[in-house]
Amino acid sequence: MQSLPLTEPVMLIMLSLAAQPQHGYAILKDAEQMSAGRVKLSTGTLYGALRRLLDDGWIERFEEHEPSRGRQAYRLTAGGRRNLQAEIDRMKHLTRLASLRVARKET
Amino acid sequence: MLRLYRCLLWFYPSPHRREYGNEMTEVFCAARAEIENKGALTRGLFLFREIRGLVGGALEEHVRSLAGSHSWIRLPTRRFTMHAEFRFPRATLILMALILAGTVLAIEKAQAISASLPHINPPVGPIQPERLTFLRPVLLMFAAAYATGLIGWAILFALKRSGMHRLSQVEGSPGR
Repeated sequence: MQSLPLTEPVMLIMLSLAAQPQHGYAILKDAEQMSAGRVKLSTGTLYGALRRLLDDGWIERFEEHEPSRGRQAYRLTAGGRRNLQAEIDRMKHLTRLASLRVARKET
Repeated sequence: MLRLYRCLLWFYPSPHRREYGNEMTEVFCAARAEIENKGALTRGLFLFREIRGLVGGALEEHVRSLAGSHSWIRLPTRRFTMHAEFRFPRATLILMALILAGTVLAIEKAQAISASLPHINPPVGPIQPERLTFLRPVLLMFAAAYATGLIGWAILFALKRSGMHRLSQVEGSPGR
């Protein structure tokens, strides 16, 4: 089961699907772009994560009107979006707290 | 490169391969086309990353199919959950039987060769070479491994039949 906090590759996959439904290759490229080339997902990692997210109901398959060469698109479910928002809130809280603590230490 | 990739895909459990194999291959081909004109180092890193991802992914999928659920492995304090399609992998039994047969055959062969060779020097010391047979311990070890596996499977099967996995579904999971 996918649990919080999310790993960085899973977070990037979720963020990639947050804007619009995407195919596997588009997710790979998006994750690489979002992380400024730091995270390069392999197909094994990508499809392992997609399978887990599908099983947990965080994402779903998206049927396109004009399917291209049998490529499968994925999109976030409502539950997946809620979980992503919860993770973003957790990270916001953490970064705010970290900033405060570091600033206090410097003064 | 593509042939190697397709070979490595066979490490995955067949349901995963059937469901995602074509998609994975297609994504791999697209990614490979992009780095085709780049340097040898880039191509080498790409291949290394893909192989590592496939082997790791296949291992994870096998562990998942053995255990029935990731949550059971990662969160041992949670209630036991088991998928309805859980079954003891037949391939493991076949593999274990093959290893056992190979080991027994090798030992038998070694003993036959040892018996056919003339002993020029008599055995010295308290250790008698003709009595050093590893067959029994190896057989015992395999029997113990089989027994452990079967007992484990029986416990999982009993839990599944008792309906414990359904209780966890009724309660739902707080993580979602």
